[in-house]
Amino acid sequence: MEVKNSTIAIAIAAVCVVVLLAALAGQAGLLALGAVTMPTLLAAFGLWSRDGTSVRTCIWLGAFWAAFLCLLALGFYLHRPEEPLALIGGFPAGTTILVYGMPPLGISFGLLYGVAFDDEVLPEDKQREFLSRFVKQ
Amino acid sequence: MPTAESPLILYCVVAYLAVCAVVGAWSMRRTKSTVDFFLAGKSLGPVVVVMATISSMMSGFGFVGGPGLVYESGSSSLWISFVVAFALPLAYVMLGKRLRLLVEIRDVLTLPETVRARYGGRWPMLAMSVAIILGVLGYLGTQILAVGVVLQAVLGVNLYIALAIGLSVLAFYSIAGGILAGVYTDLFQGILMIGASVMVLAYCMDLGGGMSEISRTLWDMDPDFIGPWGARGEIGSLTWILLFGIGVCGQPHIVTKLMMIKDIRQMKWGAVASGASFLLMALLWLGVGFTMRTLVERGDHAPLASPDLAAPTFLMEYTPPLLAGLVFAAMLAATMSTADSFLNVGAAAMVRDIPKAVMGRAPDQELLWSRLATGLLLVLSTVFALYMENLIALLGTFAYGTFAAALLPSVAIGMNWKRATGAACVASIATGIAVNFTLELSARHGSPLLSPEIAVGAVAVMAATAVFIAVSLLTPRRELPSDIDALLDV
Repeated sequence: MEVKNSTIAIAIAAVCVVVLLAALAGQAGLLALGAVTMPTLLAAFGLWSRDGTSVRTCIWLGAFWAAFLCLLALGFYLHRPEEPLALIGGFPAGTTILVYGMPPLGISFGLLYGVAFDDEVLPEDKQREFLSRFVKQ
Repeated sequence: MPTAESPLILYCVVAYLAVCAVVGAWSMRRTKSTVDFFLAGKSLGPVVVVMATISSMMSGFGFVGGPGLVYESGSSSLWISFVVAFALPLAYVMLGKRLRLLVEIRDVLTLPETVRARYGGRWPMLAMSVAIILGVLGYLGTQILAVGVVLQAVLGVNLYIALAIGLSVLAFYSIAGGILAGVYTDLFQGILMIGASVMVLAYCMDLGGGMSEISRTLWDMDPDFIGPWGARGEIGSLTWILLFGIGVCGQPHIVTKLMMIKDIRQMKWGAVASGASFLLMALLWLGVGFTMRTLVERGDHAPLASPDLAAPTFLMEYTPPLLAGLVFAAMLAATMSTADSFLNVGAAAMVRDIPKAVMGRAPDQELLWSRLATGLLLVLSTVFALYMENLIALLGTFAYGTFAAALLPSVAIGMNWKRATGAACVASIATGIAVNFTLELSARHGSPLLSPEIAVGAVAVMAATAVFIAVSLLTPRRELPSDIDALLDV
């Protein structure tokens, strides 16, 4: 676990430096990449256990990262103040992506936690074994 | 400041304050130990934990300052409210099971005690306690001002009288009932906030002529305002995503709720329930802000003297008295639920954590001292709040950033990474506080070190996290006790 988590930690530190430089330089694209990568890496940190992690979780983390990045990219691409207003779902196109895209993305994060809880986050046998070893009688 | 003319509004608010007082009296009888006072006896069900978490998260910053932020900067502030939908689950993912299991195996009631168990030694615990007290003073100040703003509008009295009334009720139930009173009032407050938000959104859409009409008006005013990045632009919104998307894991009033659940397996659906419920609460934030700005742009209402008046003005002038009364009660609920959590966290740091870090043990009669410390913190924060004259929402961002920068690396990363060290914990807390304070002070004194749209807290979080990881890799690793070693493997 330690080696794998140290790799993730180093990646997090690298993203922090990139984000700081991007913010100072006003590089929105790079900052967006950091804003998407940071929570994904932290989630990977939390979901990684001694036994590694499942294919389902890896795929989900990849999908979360890609979907979040696409949302931000579409936000950049679809916002065209110089063109006539086109409304989708009551909002300008770029804002629609944010309003209707972000909430499901966030909720899917919580759903993954619930779905993975029994077999990956905290299997009952693992919990029992841990508590039986360390709880003070 | 507009004032309420209908007695219905006053009745709703008085009824809400009475419920809080009753819950405080009920909790006082059930609070017999410090475990009850600080962790609600580790006896909470999943619904109470979820509602307490989101009520504390929403706060006066969201319910009073939030509509003001939308009024002022448009869509930018959507990034705060929407990213919390994944930020709350992230807190469960990173901290939920480990914090709750730690409570089972060690005598741990607070985050500084968690840090002591994780890193050993007195300095990490002391540094964490100091960071918490600094953040609590800032954040409580925000909530106290918000209580004053709302009660001033409802009662039509001056700020000092409004504060005296609101804080008396808050002091009663926080001092008497500790966090037990806090979480059960949060449950009531959370239900009130969700109900009020949904009703107000429907009313906003009706008044604004539907979202399409609101969007058209705001687009004609300034396309960027209603565009995806709002008036703060891309850089400002992206730094808010960073600050609020990951900063929740460093908020003590949120994270400690995860330690209070009775059965750890009930956390299973807590993550998704928290995210979804928060989104419902945020509807008021968005609806009122956009609608109020639309009314001003159409010439139906005079420009507001301050963005923070968006919510009180809208409710007072454009909604039926009963709905306005419910929402004012919900606003008070938002501020008071966060304030009671901070009072509890701050009192724990003063009475339990700092003495333990310095002298090795908590004082005798800890419960009595905890109640006294809660009262003292309330007085100190009120004085602090009355000296600050900036926007409520910006005060909230400042305190939020202080917590996120100081606590996220040490607690959220430290509980997931065996290589993390105590020296790194102290260094990152010092870095987070120093960067946040320096940048905020420079901005407030007219010589900003950063471009003004950048969220200072996000920079502080990134700097503290990078320092934490670098120092951990450069300093010798402590041999972990067997239980902590196993905990980090679970």
